[in-house]
Amino acid sequence: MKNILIINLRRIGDVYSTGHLLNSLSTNKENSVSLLVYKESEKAATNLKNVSNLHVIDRKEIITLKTNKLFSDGFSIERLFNQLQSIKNQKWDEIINYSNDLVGAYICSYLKESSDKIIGVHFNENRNVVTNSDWEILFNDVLPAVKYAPMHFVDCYHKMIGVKSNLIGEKIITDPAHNATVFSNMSTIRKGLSTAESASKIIGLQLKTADANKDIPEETLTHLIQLIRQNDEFIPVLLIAPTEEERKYAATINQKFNDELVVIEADLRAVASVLMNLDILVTPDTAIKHIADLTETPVLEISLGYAPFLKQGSYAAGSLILTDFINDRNFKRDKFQSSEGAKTNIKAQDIMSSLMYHFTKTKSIRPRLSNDVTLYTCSFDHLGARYSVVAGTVDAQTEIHRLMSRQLINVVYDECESVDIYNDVIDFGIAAATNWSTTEKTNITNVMKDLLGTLRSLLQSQENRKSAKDFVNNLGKLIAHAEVSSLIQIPVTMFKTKIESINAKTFEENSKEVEILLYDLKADIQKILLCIKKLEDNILIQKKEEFMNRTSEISSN
Amino acid sequence: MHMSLPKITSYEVKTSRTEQKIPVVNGVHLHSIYNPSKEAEAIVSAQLETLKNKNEVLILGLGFAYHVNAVIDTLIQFHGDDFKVIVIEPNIQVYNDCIALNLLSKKNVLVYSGFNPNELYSDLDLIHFLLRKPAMIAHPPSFNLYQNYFKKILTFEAPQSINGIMDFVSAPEVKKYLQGFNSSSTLEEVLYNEIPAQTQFDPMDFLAMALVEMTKGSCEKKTTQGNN
Repeated sequence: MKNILIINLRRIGDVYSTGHLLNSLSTNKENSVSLLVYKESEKAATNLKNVSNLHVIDRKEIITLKTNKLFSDGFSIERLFNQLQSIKNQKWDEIINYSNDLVGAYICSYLKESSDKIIGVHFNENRNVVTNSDWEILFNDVLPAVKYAPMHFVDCYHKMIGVKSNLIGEKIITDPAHNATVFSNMSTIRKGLSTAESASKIIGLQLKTADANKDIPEETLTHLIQLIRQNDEFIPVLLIAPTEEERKYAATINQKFNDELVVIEADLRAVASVLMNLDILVTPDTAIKHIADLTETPVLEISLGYAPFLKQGSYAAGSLILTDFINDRNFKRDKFQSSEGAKTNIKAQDIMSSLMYHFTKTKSIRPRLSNDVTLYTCSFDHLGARYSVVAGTVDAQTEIHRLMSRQLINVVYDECESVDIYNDVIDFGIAAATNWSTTEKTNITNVMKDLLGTLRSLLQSQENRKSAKDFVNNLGKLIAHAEVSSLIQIPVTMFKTKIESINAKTFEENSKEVEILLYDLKADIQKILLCIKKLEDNILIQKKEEFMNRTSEISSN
Repeated sequence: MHMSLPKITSYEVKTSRTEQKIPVVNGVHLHSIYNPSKEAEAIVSAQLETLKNKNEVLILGLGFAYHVNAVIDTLIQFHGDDFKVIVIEPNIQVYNDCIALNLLSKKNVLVYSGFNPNELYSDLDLIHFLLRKPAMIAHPPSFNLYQNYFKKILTFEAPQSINGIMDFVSAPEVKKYLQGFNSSSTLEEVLYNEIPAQTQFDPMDFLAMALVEMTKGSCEKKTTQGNN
């Protein structure tokens, strides 16, 4: 029996997204997986399958004990101590810090003596960050630093833990009574409201998120409902949580349609049963989206505000993500004011076109979208979820960069090259692919120059300490490449993190470790060069094929 | 008798016109000499909305419990058996007579009698009750009579020094850990200054740092007026 504890002290949506990892871990029947969450996420956690034991920290209570002068501060630390006692007293084979935050890191460090292995951020006795693998650095330092995340968080967790992703299986607990009631009610809706001869499609519309920046604007939503209702085959239903605020909002929208719309109010437990009976869910970035992924409900995600769909988007094959042109998007939360509504180019017609695309069988006709709007679809490859362009505004350089970043991870960290990626890059055009590789080679040459300069001054400083200043300057220049939007950003960020966590005590030990890291970086860059070389070979082959085709066309004419 | 408990100079039990017993403390009648039950109903009727929304109630002042019983009857109407009432009464004699005369409904009610503020805020049952943010009802005659006592309870400030905190902590591991710090330091000083300045950290240090991080943004102490 392998006793595993997953610590996830994030919000409800993040707790639901743990369902994928739990499902993969459950493939091994020897695994017994427990979950530690905050009390406010407890309801979500109890809905997840494959959880042996649930542990809870009542954060709000601890905050009250610590902040209210009536209560002794001693109670707050004792309360936290008591709430973790049952975990501390067990023997764990692995503790996984799924939170990727400081609280999770400190709790992992506190529990270190109770576990053979800690996966994810934690500290040693000197409070230096301990990392066990490149995947952890990729997750903690690289993915937050790059604008276009090359892989999904869920997949990165799988790699960190070393567990194979399993997409099949029940991931969420539903109530059979809810399922039966919802099925019956949905059947009635399908029959009762539709005038179409074929079975109607029920389109669920999630009205609100926890952040106005991510909400679909009311005007867009209203227009979308009009468009959906114009099609006899489609029936819109509004999904709301049982709160006064959402009821009022649903009522406001419903008034515009003479109260003819179906509004479904469901709590977290019941909503899974509702989602299972929808033909598609249209939703911004919400916990409901994550539940839909777990119930394998098709999702059309409207990614607005800072919602980082490239690393936390809908995680299901065939899901669609409608976004503003990603070059123009900012995925940093602190760039948005909480009260601001979403500013977007996405119009109701774009959402409707995407819905129509979803319901077409052949997928041969791409939807026509507004300017600066793009539709992506989710599929799975060796590395996990991959978002590819379906239609809309595309910057070939950005898309090639995203694909080749993925290839870099395949080659450097997963030792598994994907031949398909080169072909996918060339699909953006030979000129674009050539342009990208030329720019990247220039970037790599610059990094290589700085790397060799750093290496040279390091070796000199080992013989003559006076050269240490040159070494520090060169190292600074090299590390500055972590800020450049280029493929090289990934290995240099990785290098930077490793340099920062060197714990050596003497100059000699330090310089030896830096030297090893510099050679590792050099090796990684050579692997990237090899990838670019292979891309160029493929470009050449493609060029030859095109030349041959043109030649044969001319001769046949 | 504790120093912080009110001084009782005279105490007698009288009978109201409705033949109900009423305590008279320091010359103050704690219930109506005419009709204590009717008076209790008036107290409760002013709190109906609160009692509908909250099933846990803290009552300041027991007297002979006519108002407490009225609150309990109302809570039963709204919440069935799912309710809890805690009463704080400084005068042990009043409490003893109330019990001896069998005047208090025993259903889901707990009375803290003769406790000073320090003892009250050391009691884990009471603390957990307060953390759930109960409704608060003051029994006006008791509240006026023991004004200083109740004021001390409502404006209590728990000791902040490590030395003072020790009385409130029961887990031996936590006690032992806190003993390792300067006894005159506050826990805030330990958490925000002393622990981060260390060069070596043991597991309990990481627990303390988790607490700091978990409560970040709320580290400033709020007002002392209850926890609502």
